[in-house]
Amino acid sequence: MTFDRISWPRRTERLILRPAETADLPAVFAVRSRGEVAEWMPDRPTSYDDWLLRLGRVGAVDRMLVIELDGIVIGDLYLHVEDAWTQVEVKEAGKGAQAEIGWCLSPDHQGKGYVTEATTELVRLCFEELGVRRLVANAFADNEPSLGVMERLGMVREGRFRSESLHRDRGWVDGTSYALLREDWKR
Amino acid sequence: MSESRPATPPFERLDWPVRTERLLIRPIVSADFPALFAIRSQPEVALWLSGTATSYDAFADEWAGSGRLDTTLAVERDGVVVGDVFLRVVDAWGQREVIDDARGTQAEIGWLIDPTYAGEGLATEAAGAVLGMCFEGLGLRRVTAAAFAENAASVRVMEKLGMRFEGRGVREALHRDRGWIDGVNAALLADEWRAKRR
Repeated sequence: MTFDRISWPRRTERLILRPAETADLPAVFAVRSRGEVAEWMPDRPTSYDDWLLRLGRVGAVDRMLVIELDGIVIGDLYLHVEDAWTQVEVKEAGKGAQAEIGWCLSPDHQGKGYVTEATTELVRLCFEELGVRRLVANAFADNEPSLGVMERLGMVREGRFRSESLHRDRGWVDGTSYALLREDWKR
Repeated sequence: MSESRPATPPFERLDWPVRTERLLIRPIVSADFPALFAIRSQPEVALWLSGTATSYDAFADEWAGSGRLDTTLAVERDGVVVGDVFLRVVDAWGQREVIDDARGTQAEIGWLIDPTYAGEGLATEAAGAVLGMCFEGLGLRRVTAAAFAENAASVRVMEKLGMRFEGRGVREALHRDRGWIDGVNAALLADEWRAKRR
């Protein structure tokens, strides 16, 4: 498992990052179930128990880090190390070569650069400790705060996909993808 | 998230064969494997394919058991298989609350033509017919195609089909000879396709 390959917790100037534990999930739920957060998330959970079942079904906790500020969980990060696309003959070289990242922060703590601070460390972990060569992040094209994070991380917009994603309130909307290669990463 | 299939497999929802000006298009059968292998094992074709079969037997085994029969169409001209096209219906991405409405609404397509017949516009003719199957016969709302950015012939077909280039993944894909190279994605929506045909 990805998270077992490196040591935790990680400290940044103001934050602690560590793999989510069961005890963190009520706090994560409290953030994820807020309307303005759920707007851009794959899920708008209303029942804690149902949400927990869904998390379990897809193994989501294995890809979840929590962002802690002064001992309180204020958001979470998504990290999924995956295989890059390769031709069959060179499949081995693509194993674990790419990672997808994502994030989510309580509205009570927005506007202070916490996501940028947390994800900057996440990017460093991916490139320096997990052997990832390419990072990707996807978002709804209208999710401006997230696009701002990607740009501050030095990620480059690679695609805009017209009317590709179905939003619960907005209907079919555009998606966008960003990426960063290890060799282009500015430390 | 689970990938669900439409109740009826896509190829069973269409009438066969589909005829274009010069071509006849129909689902492949195992009797086509020798012809497909003869095309796909040519180095200039295999260059851009995800894998190269080392022998006919390996190829036939793989194709018989991999769902290829449900996603590949043979392209015939005058009774000779001159290429194949790929058509796979997939789920679009949707938020959980509306995910059922996103299922089975999109397709990915691909194509290849025997180099012997290159330069005659057969890939564009075949792929254009596949777009028609997707949007009319299957009622899909979005069709995508992907290629290595250096695969100029395929990129040109996307252009000729009127597909929009939506993304370029920088050094995202590992090629057996060329190392890490760029991939491109193109797409077309049903509304756009209809508008172009007017």
